[in-house]
Amino acid sequence: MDFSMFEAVTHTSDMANMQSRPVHHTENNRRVQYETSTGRFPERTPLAMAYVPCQQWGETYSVEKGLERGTVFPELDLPFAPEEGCL
Amino acid sequence: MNTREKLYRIIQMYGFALDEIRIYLDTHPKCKNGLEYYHRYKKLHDEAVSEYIRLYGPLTANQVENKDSWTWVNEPWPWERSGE
Repeated sequence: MDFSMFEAVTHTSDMANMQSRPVHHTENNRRVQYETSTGRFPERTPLAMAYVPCQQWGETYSVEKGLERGTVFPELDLPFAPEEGCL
Repeated sequence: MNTREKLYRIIQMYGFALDEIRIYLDTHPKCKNGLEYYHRYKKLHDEAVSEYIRLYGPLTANQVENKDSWTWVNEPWPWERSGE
């Protein structure tokens, strides 16, 4: 399974200053302008398709905390409703 | 929590970490860090399980080693807790 196509879609450090900016793209030599609302995706990313960024190895919780939180990967610890005393 | 329950809890922790890393490795089969994590906790998990069996008897029914008696039915069941 080749996941490299998602490599570019990572949490880049300059996430903060990503504004929406028009992206110029030529298709059969006609200038086509795409408005990218988040600007996170590489240019020429096809529209109307869902993308899941590929998890990169990072820190892990202790096994004790992992069992308690329901995951050993902090980046996947995404409770729907933040419990009190947690945030 | 008596020592049996503590060891049982540790086995659960290692077991869950293995559940997590197996899913990760399914999509990252060549990830060095992931593989190292798996082998580390696989070893710890298996050691804790054999320690539990040695001290308290089988954790699952197909871990009975006793030739004279079906020790699986002995009290307490692995998941049982003394009243806190």
